[in-house]
Amino acid sequence: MVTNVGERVSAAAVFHRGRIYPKWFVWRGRKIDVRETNSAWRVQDGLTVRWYFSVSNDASRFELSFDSSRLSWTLEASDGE
Amino acid sequence: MRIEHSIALLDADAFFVACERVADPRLGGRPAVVVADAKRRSVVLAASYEARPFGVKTGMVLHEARRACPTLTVVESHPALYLHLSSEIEKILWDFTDRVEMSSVDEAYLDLTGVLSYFHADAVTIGRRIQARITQDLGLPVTLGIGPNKLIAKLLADLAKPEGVREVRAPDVAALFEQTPVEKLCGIGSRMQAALAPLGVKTAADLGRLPVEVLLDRFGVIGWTLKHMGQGIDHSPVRSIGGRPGPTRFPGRYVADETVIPDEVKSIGHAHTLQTDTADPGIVHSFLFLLSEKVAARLRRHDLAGRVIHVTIRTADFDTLGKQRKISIPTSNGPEIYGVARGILNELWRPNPPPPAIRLVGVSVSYLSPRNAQPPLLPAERRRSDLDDLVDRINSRHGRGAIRPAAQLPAEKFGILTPPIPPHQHDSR
Repeated sequence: MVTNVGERVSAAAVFHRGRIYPKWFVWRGRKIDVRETNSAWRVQDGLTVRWYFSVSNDASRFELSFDSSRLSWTLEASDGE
Repeated sequence: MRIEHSIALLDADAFFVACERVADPRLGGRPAVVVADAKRRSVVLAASYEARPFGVKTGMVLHEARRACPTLTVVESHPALYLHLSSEIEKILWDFTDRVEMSSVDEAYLDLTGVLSYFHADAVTIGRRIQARITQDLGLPVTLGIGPNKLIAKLLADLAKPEGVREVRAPDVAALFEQTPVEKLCGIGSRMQAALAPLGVKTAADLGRLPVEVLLDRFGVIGWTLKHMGQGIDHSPVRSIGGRPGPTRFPGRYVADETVIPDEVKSIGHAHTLQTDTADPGIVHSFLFLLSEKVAARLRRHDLAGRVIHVTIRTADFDTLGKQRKISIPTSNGPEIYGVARGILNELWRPNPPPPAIRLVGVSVSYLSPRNAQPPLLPAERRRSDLDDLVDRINSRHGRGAIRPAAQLPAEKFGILTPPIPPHQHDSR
């Protein structure tokens, strides 16, 4: 069951050849390692560009977003945790 | 010598579900549906092939789908993901031909006529390469139908689903049509099928054999279109809108026939399925306004204006009604389109006796021409045009819908299945 979260998180990511690979993020004091990035998509709204990532660890799937104008990460949704 | 055209229709299989499976591979192999909002009344936007044997299909109300398939996985839609993957598909297609028409988010027509010699391959081989590339790069299953025109390509894609590639050449179309139920032809719905049945039409070939006078007498001007459909004739070209940025990969390629040169967009339209059927005129008019604004903004984005305004409504019992009106001066102004659309709506949906509840509203504009072919003459028209330009500039800087008419707020409050701004883009923080 997917639950909308919408909370700011700290995250680490590798930026490589025009692509972004989230590696881990900290949500509610817990560090969650990203095992796999399933897909990524980009939304442009006016001058704001936001990247969305569907990522998984061993147990759950998460939806992260990266706001390129604010340089901020948000956990948009999660299932299972 | 006349060159035979090779037109392909690429159709992504259960596209929304397939996109969701890319985002969450655990959905693979499960009966699943995509809906706009799992908590509110929603219709199924797409059903996986695993869900279909249970009778689950697109357009079904969610609770009916759950009843039909108790193990159904329900996923909420991610429109931005679908648009992203759709544009990734389009990028791949431009590597194979310079005639690409994205007819919807999950369908594209390709004209392969001129590139067969470039690739030294037949159309089926190219189709399989396209299919393999999309599956490998994006993880999406697709089907291709290939024929001498768009009508045949569409039919074959439907017959070859899922994950098929099927070609029929022009000399074999007649034999195919003998076996094809007429309702399989794109454009023949259940009503048309019912109207054709008393004329003895069961197969596509039966339709082609019917004298055109009979069809004209029964259906008016579309009699000719029906006759051509039954004969497998379709001259509509593959229209590349915008085209691939940068130089073409196929310089100086042979163009088989001047009629396939891409031309302008034919019409621009939007439709919304309402979250709940309603007979409230205030809500319906507000949706009509919102759609008129969206159509107008898209017209301006393409630098177009149009003279024919068409309104479609679908009632709660699935009756679809439509009507159009021609205006004297082409327009790309939302309130002006709305003014005409509202007049049409009032004719389609009369208040006495109490009108049926509405489940879908659509507005489209056709008979298009360049927007500023004739600059506005009257000061009021100039002001309106300047205001539109200003609103477009603000919205392109601050996001679509950043500034919008208050008249569309009732529709937004009522709920829009496909919101004008993806919900993730609202920044409430």
